[in-house]
Amino acid sequence: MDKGPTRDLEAFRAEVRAFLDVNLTPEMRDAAALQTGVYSEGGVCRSWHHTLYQKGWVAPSWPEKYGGPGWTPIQRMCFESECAAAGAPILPGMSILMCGPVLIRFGTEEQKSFFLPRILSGEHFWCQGYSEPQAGSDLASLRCAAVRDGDDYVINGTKIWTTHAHYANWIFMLVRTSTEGRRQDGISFVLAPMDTPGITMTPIISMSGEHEVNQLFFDDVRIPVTNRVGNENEGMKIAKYLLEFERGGGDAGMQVTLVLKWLDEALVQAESQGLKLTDSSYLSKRAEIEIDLLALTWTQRRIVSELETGQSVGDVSASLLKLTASELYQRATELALATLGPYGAVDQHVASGEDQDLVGPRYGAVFGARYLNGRAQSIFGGSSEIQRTIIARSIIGR
Amino acid sequence: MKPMLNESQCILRDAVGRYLSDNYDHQRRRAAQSDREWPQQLLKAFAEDLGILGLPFPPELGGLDCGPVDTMVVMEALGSALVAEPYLSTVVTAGTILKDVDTAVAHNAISAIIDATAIIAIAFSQDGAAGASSNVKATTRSNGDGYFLSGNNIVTRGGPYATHLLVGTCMEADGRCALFYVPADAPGIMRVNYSLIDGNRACDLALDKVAVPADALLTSDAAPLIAKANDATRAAICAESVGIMRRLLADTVEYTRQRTQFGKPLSEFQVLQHRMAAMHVEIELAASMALMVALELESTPQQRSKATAAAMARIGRAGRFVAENAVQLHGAIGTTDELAVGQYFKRIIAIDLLFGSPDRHVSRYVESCIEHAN
Repeated sequence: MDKGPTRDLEAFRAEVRAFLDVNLTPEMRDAAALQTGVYSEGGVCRSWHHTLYQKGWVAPSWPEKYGGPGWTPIQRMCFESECAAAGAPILPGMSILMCGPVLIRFGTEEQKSFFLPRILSGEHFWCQGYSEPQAGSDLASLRCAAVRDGDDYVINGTKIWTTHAHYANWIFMLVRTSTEGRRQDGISFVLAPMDTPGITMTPIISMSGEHEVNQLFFDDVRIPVTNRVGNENEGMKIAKYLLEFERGGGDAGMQVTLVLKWLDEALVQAESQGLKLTDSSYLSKRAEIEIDLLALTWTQRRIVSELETGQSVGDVSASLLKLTASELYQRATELALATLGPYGAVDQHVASGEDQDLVGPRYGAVFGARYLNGRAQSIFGGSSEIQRTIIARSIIGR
Repeated sequence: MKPMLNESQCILRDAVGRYLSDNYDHQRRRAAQSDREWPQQLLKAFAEDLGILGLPFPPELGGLDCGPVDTMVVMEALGSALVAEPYLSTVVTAGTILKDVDTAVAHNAISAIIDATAIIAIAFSQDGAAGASSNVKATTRSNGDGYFLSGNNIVTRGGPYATHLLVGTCMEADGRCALFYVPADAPGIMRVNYSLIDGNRACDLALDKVAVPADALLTSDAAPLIAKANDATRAAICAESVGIMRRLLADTVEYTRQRTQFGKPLSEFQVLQHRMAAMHVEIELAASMALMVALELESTPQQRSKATAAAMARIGRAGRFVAENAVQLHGAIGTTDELAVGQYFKRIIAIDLLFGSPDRHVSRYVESCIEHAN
């Protein structure tokens, strides 16, 4: 592995920075700093998506043939880390990182030509219907059923924890198309417009008081069979494909970098208000997080480097990165909140509803919600316990 | 493991615990919290049904003459029901100060606490941090009769609904620390009210030349009394935290018993069993520290301060471990606003932020060791 960057990579990095300097406006940076969830939402999300789309950079992991910029994995990682360093909003992953790659790998030509351009442009905004009340870690036990009726599937059941379903106009879901044989062999991957008759939704409020996820109900929801991706009963294979490292975002530590950056900016704001928020225990905790971030980042570099030389990276890499990054993110959000002292205990979400100005650094107003929302990071996308099981099975063998 | 309680303390614990679980379950509390009258109703019920508002006060003032271990028992029960305020600020913090002030105003305040007609908010720093959170100055009025108070106190718990404020000040004349007992409706008091993440109400207080009579001054040598009240508050918080943790573990055990994945209850997975075992160990160690600090409250100020530093540090760490793992073991549903586990989690986090992090208390412990050595 090359220890240092090549001249080409530095030229690429300079190009990305120049683009960010011009196109990631101060308004966008400010709005991004006030985002509390796993993904950005609202106006800043749409503008940033549009800006990247115009540049041709909105889908860095897609093949050029389908609208990707043709970057290597190392360039992708470089792009993501420059975005994080600049404080760019994190775009939701469901459309570009999940649905898109699935269609590229398993979709028909008709599905690809219909859906991929609309994902790129942002016209379609996807949500993911996987978990059910009785099927969380044990996803294969899902029960939402799709029964064949002529040229259609009729879907009945429920999905839960659907992030941003309240913004989405399309949903991709895992549904049960067979009850014979092993549970995981009776699942299919299908697509449905969110305005299909029979789909209803209730919001689920998080500990932070915010609305990020939902429960969806499917009552005789009819979709054409042509909305299935891949073969019938192959859905879990498709879901597993999405878990592989290559499909993930370019920089596992991106979120942590952002939290630390916004913390630094809040500390500057605090100083200008005459508030001193940090002490020696802050410094040593901050140092430990930065040190662990270095370990995470360099691990990702090693993995990416293996990919570039055509080696297989195995199942463990994605699990290792997810496990490490999610817990580091939690430590970083906890540290940020701790700097606020008593002000950290204020329910800013309620206060913003009451339209109040609160004392304290502006960016600090979201540290509490970001910390509370962050508790879900070690749970969704495969809990930390599940990730450890995957890693253990890999190193020990069954 | 049974705590080292005497028989009357066991009776107190059971009576308060039973009353609270009968009357203040999760749903009732959530529904009531948005009601502005909720804190007053709570204290009134405690006065009428439980008679615990007089717990720490001497009998000649109408109190029950109970000690710190009794307070510990009550606070643990209040913690388990998530109803520690306004009892904590009014009976424990303010009560500790008023008990040691031998003036008519102080005695009347105690009577009002006992019959639930006074709710007191604390306007001096309680998080163990130096400076910033409270900076009220007191100047003598030019006619010599009384004082003007001016300054700010941030995140004043109970400030929106309190009948009185206990205000810590710096006397302009000589720089000494003083304590005033001020009616909450005195002219010149401004509030920015808000909610805290644990559902309690608080405010940023601004005092602008608030005129108070001479007898509002409780003491002009307040520093030792404030230190004593802060230590009493810490001991109470330690007990409250143990109550919260017990509830978090109980809910987690119950949940993992009935939630099944991969064909069996979560409670049959060894990783989760060990996690719950670790939570149990933390809770027992925390309960021991809560007992230790209650017993040390009546010792010398240095010993007391060191004990509360140790207890807050150790119980703070235990609380966060238990709370985080309770949420984690509930899975996604633990991150929602729906279950009790999220509310208990948020109170643990709020305690950390309002009363000082474990790191802060480790520093206090170090300081008291250094002082002791010198």
